[in-house]
Amino acid sequence: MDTTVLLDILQRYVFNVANLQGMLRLSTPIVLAGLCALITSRAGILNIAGEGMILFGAWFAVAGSYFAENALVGVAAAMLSGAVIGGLFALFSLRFRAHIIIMGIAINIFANAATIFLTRAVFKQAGAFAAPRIQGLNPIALPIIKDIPILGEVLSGYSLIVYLTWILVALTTLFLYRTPWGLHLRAVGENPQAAETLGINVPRIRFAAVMASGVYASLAGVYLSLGHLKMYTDQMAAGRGYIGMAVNTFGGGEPIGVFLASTLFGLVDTIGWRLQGERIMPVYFISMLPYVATLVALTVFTLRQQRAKRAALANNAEEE
Amino acid sequence: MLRRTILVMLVAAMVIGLVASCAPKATPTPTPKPAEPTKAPPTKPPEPGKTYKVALVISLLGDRSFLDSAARGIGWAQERLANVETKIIENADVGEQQLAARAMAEAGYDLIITVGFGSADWTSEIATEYPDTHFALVDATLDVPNGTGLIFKEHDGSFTVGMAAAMLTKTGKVGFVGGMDVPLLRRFQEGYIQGVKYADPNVEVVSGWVGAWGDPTKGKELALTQYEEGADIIYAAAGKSGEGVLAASAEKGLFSMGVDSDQCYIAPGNVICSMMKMVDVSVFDAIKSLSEGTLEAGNRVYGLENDAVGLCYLYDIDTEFLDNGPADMAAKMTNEVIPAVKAAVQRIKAGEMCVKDHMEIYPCDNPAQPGGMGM
Repeated sequence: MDTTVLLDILQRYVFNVANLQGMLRLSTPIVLAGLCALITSRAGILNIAGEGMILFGAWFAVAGSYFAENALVGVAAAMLSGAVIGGLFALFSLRFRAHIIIMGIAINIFANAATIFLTRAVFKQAGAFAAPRIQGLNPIALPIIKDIPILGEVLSGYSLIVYLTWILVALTTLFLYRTPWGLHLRAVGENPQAAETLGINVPRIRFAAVMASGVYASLAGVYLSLGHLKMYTDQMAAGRGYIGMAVNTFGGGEPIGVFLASTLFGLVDTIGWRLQGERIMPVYFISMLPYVATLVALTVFTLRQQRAKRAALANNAEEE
Repeated sequence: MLRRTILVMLVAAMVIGLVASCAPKATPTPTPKPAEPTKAPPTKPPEPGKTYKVALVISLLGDRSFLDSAARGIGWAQERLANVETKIIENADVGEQQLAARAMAEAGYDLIITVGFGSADWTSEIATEYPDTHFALVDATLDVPNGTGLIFKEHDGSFTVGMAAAMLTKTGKVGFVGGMDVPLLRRFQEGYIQGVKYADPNVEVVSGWVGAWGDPTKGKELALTQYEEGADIIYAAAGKSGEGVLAASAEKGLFSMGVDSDQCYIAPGNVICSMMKMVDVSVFDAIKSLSEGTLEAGNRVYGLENDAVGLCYLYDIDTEFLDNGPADMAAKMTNEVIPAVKAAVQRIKAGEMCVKDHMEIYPCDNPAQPGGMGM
C-alpha cells in the first residue's frame, strides 16, 4: 500500500467532518464517565459505580423532562440524582466502612434493576420509554464559530451537554491545580496520612469527591437520554461507566488526557463503521485497539512507577 | 467463595421454585392440579378438563421488536385458549434463565418456551433431563424427542423489504444496520441485499454492525454515518440498538425500516415499513397445538409460504407511512412497490425463484437474479 492510497484512506475514513462530529458526539458520555472516575481516583477512591450512576442520570433526566416538559428540569433532576446516589455510595463505603468494590457493584446492580422497575411502575412501559412530552436538548449553533469553514462544522451544532463537557474538562483541570480544594484533593489521594497531619479533613474531601463523581456520571446519562436520543431504554449506559475507568487510566488521571483518550474511543467506533463496508481490515480488530492501548498505557505507567521507586530507594541507600 | 456461590444459587433455585409453585393459583380454573400419570407423550389426545401450563423464559422484554413479539403470542394464548394457563419469566441473565427453565420443568409445566439462537445448547440439555416436559425454542432447531424448534426464513422476509428499499430510494444507496455480526443476522443482511439487487441492480447497499443489541446511542451514530455516506433508507435489524436508527431517520427527515414487530408507529412517516417476523404467531401455534394434543417434536418453519415473515404491507399490518410519509413515496408504495413485492412473493411461493440463505439451512437452486424484477 503506497502513501497516496494511505492518505486517501485517512482522508475518507478518518479526517472527514462527519467522522469528527460522530467522534465528538460518541466521546462525550465517555469523557464524563472518565471525569467521574478521575475525581474519585485522584482522591484515592476506586469508584466502580459509574455505570449505575449513569443509568440513574439517564432515567431521571427523562423523568424530569417528561413531567416538567422542560429539558433543563431533566438535567437538574439527573444531577440531583447523581449527587444523591454519590452521597449514598459515600455514606455506605466511607462512613459505614462497607467494602468499596462490593458497594460499587451493589450500586450498579441496584441501578440496573431500579431503573427497569421505575420505568414499569412510573411510565407503565417496559424496556424503552419515548413520548412526545419528553423535551430533548436541542443542538445549539455557536455564534461566530459556526461561520468558520470546516472548523465551524466540527465544533458547532451539538447539544448543551457536549459544550458543557468541554468546559468541565477545563474547569476540572483548573480545580485540581489552581485551587486549594484541588490541592487538598490531590494530597488526600496521594498520601492521606500526611494530608491528615496537615489538618485536611480527609473524610470530608473524599465524601465530596464521590458526590461530585455522581454528578459527572449523571451528566453522561443526561447526554445519552436527552442529548442524543430523547428516550430512555433499559441498560442504555452499555458499559460506558467501565470504559470511563479505562479512559481515566489511559489518560493518566489528567482531565485533558481523559478527553483525548475518549476521543480515541469515539474515533475508533466511527472509523470502524466506515471500514465495515469496505472490508479493508476486520472491524473487531479496530474496536479492540483502544483497549489494547489502555493495557499498554497501564503497563508502561506501572513500569515507570516501579523504576522511579527503585531509583529513589537506590538514591537513599547511597546517601546513607 | 465457591461454597458461597453454590449456596446463593441454591437459595435462588428455592425461591424460584417457591414462586413457581405458588403462582398458578392466580388463574380462575377450578380444577385442582391434576395428579398426572407418570408419562405424557407429546402426541396424545387432549385430556378433558386438563389445564395446560405454559411458561415463556425470556430476556428482559420491552425491545418493541423480537422479544415483545414472543410475549404477545403468550398473551394471545392466555386470552383465546380456555384450557391453557401461561406465565412469562423475564431474566436478563442467561444463567438465571436456565435456572428458571429447570424450575418450571420441576414444577410440572407442560410446555416451556425459550428464545434465541444462543439458548439452543442449554435448552436441549434441559429438555433431555426432563423428558416429560415439552420444550419449544424460538430461532433455532431442537433435536430432542420432546423439543420443537420454531424457525423463520428471515432471508425471505428481508428480501421483500430490500425490494421496497431499492424501489423507494432516491439516492441510489440504501443501508443495513445489524446488531451483531453473527450468522443469523447475516441471513437478514444477505436476504436484504438480494432483494435490493433483484429490484434494481444499480442500487448500492452499505452495511454496518453496531456490535451490541442494547446500545441505541451507537445505533444512532452508525445510522448517521450511513446517511452521511448517501443512503436515504436504512433497514435496522438490531434489537434495541435499532431504536437509535429509527430516531436518526426522524431527526434527519430520512427513512428507516423496522424489524420483527410493527415499528412504524415509533416514528410515523419516517419508518417506511417493518420486516414482520411473526414470532407471536409461532408461539401461539405451538401452544394451540399443545392444547389440542397435537404438538409434535421436530422443527416448524415459518416463511412467506405460511404468511409469517415479510413486508408488513403484505399482511395489511401497518399503514402509518401511507398517511404520514411524503405523498410521492406513499403513492409509489401503494401503486408500485406493494404489487411488485406481491408478485415476487408469488414467484417464491411457486418455487420459480428463491432467496439464498446465509446459514444454508434451506437449499436454494435457482436464486433470484439481480435485475430479475425487470424494471
